[in-house]
Amino acid sequence: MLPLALAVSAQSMVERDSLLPTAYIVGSQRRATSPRQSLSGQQLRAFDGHSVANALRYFAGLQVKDYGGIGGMKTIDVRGMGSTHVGVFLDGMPVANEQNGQVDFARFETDGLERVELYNGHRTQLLQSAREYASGSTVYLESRRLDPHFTGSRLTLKCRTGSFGRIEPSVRWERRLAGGMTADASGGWLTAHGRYRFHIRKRFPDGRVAYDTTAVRVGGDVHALRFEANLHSAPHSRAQWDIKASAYGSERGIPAAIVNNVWSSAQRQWDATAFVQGRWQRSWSTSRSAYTLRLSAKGGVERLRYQDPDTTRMPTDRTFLQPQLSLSAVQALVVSEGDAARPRLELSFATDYACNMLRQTSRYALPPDMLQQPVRHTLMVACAAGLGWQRWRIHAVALETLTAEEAGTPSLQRRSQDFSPALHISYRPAAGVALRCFAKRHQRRPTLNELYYTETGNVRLLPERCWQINIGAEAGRSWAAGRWQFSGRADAYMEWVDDKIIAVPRGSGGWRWLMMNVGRMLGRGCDVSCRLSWQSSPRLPLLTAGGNYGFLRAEDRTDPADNDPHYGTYGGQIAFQPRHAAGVFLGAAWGGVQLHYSFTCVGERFKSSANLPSDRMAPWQTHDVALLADIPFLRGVQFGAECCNLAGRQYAIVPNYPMPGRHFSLTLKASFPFL
Amino acid sequence: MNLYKSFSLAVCALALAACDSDDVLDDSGNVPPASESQLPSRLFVLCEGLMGSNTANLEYLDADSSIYYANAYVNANPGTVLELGDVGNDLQYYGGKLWAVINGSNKVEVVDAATLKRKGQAEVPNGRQVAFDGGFAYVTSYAGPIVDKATGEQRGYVAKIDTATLAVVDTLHVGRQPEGIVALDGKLYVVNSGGYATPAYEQTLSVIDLAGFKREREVAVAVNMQHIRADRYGRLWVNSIGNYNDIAPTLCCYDTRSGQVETWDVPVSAMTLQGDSLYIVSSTWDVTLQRSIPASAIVNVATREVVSRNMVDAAVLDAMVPYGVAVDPRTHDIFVSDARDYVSPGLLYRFAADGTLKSKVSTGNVPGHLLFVE
Repeated sequence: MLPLALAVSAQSMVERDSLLPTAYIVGSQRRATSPRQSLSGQQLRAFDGHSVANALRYFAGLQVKDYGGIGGMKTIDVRGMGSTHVGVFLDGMPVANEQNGQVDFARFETDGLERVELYNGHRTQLLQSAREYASGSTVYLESRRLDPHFTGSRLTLKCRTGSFGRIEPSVRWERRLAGGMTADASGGWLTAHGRYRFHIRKRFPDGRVAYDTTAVRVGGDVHALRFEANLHSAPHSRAQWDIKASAYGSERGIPAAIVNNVWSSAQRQWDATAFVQGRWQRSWSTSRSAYTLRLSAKGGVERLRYQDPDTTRMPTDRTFLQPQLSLSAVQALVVSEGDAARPRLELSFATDYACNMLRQTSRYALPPDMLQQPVRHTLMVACAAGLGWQRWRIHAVALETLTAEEAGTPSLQRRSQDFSPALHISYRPAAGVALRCFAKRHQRRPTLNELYYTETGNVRLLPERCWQINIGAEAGRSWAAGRWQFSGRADAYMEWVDDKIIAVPRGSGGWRWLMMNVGRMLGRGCDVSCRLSWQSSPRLPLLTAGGNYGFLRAEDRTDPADNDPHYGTYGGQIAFQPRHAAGVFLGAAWGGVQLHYSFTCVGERFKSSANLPSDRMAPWQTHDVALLADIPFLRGVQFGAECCNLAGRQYAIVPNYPMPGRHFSLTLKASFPFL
Repeated sequence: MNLYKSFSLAVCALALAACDSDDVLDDSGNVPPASESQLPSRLFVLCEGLMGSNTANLEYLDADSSIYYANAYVNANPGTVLELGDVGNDLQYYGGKLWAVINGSNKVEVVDAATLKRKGQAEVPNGRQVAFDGGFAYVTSYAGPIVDKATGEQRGYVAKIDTATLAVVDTLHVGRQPEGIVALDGKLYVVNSGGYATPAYEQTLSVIDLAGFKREREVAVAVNMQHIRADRYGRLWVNSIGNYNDIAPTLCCYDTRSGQVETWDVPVSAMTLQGDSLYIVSSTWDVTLQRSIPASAIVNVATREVVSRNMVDAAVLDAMVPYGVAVDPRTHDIFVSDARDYVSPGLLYRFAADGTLKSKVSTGNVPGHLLFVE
């Protein structure tokens, strides 16, 4: 829930310096030919102590699906394709949950991050793994590195408190070591009772209040502990490596849907996640060409225990263990550096292997065919070529995915193969202006739950097949010797999702759900964002204003026969997808003080594709403000205060999961040299 | 400082744009003036709604005027916080009142049949179905004690509710996950499904002596049973869901006098008894075709014969997911509800007694339980 402002270049799709007419550098992030939004450095710092989900809210075309409160799950959906279509990478390695295909962004804090980026489609860097080409949209989380000019060591102590009974102390230590190495270690503890007050109110169409009641959301407590350590080294300009080790453990209540006569839930969840990942990269070059090899690996395990002790419901106590291993090798060759007369040509070849397992156990005896123990092997090979010549840049990639799965009872073997190409073209008609387009195919494989989960799983599932085309432009300009700065971007797109995996009821009478490839969607939309800043002199405040807007008409194209003008679903807006969403942010920074204001607004949604008035969910808006200030006379001590949902708006993103009203937090942070 | 001015203007504009808009009650279809004489023309429809969505709804069709009163419960009780509740599982009529078992809301809602005004609620966690006898309502519930810590085996129970006070006056444990319940000749019959313990389903009917409210015995009839209806010949008609795998769904008849069990390969999702005809609709999952196959049938309970396998126009039925059935006792028009994809609003089809389509109307989400009040 934080602000942007300075941070706002969040939407800085086009970073200022990237608009300077410099030589075209293929592979540079700044020369990305795909639509990109990012938050980085000082800007991201404004979100310290928040989950990444809150920062992502300000990206155009992205919806955060939030179950509410401090412990509620927060997943993201980009351009209405669904949260399983988003690829997430932490320091280049996938953060993947093959069990449910979703990443809970509430678990990632912005504290330790240098940069958060969202690409529609995929990034088009030279050096990236095959898997990075495989999703409908891609989120990159990059860990914070020590500033190259910083030579000593630093210890940062922080404590945050506020609404929901939150107490969150954390510590971070970072140091530059000999031989171009840096090290950091951090840890934090979060505890919160998670309770908050909410209203449930409905009105008659004429505006009279039908009912209005106040209750307290309970059962959303969180207790979490996290540790992370990083070692990074760049011994010389052609080589670098890094290692990350991370552990996370939590216990939390799962607040269920609020329904008539039931105001609380006893469900609980325990998580434990640990992983180690590393990257090594080395380049060899001649005067005209360069070869780079990058190897990376990640190994880890994730354990989740879910318990519903409510004896009036089905007694449930299940544990899911997911060991995983990912390996990747990327080779990149710059065939020709390119100059005024000749194009720049580069090729890349990436091979990824991943092994994911799911080990399920249940406290209450279940037959073995209801506790499948699947193993999934994935091999991905991607060949990419980049061509840059004068004002043009072309990037093409071909991705082949081979999947093999085994599950024990009864003995099952599944194999699948998929070929997904993509083409990006961009053109720069003038300094500071870029036009771009891309066409991309991707598949979304069924998750292990969709395939093997007790009763609902369907081993016959095929992947969802998707196409996207996107046309866009970005521009940046500055006036009056840099005192005014503007950047903006607009993209229009179409997307098709076929064989969408949907739960279908089966059976007679007491039905069960079964996952099936029955849905189809056609999406047409646009994302627009812009930012303006002004600073007349360094002694006056830097003022920033920005906004973003996303429109998406996501049509349900599942059943052409279901076309009744009143209750038909064909052609209706898909459930829970707003047509309009927008955000505005304002910021001021002066000396050591920053003030941020932000506004988010999401239009009406419907609970079913029939779009009936009775299924309508009201639009909602929130206002957030935040203050960050260096404390005078106390070097290295910073104070932060913020208020989210200033107007106390009552709303729900997921029906029957009320969101908190106005809530606060206070942060005190102190940094000093240590060791 | 022009910029400061425009900043503050922008903030004001945003504040205006952000004025509150709450969810709005849908009051389409108002409740007409209530009158007892209109009751026989009303077809009450209890829409289940998806679990966790709190969209159960009680609506009705005036069969004479063909007007559908969508959202009738909400219009009659607009001040009820969170409306009718979560997952309507059964609807029955007793003594001028409608009893709706609302499973996810852990209650049985009691409303006046003429006005649909709320009379109160009985607290029954995880309730399933309801039957009546001598001023008491009997409601089956899954939420009995866990009898085996290792397997999580849980008994169900029957709650005895005083229909005057709506207080639960007694409870009695039965088998695992009891579903249908019926009162006949001084006995209560409860079918046990065992639905939690796939594939170890229950196969029994619990027989309860009404006078002493004591369990008498268990009778093995069929696997995973769901609904039960009593005819006037002392026979009970129950349906078995099968095991979603190699045991197909069936219709069974248990003769309480002889103890004989007869079985037909007639799948049942919903059934209603009108005179001596048992009207049946079903939607059965076909493992090879990977889709639900709709079907309908009429069984004569006097002769115990399947009279028809095409109760209604097959071409119309083929496009449906039939989920509830009722027959107008005055005209013998057949009403079948369609759950569609269980996410979108459902449909209610009206057929003439010969099975030809007369009309259809859109309903709430998952119209599951249809009831004429005689």
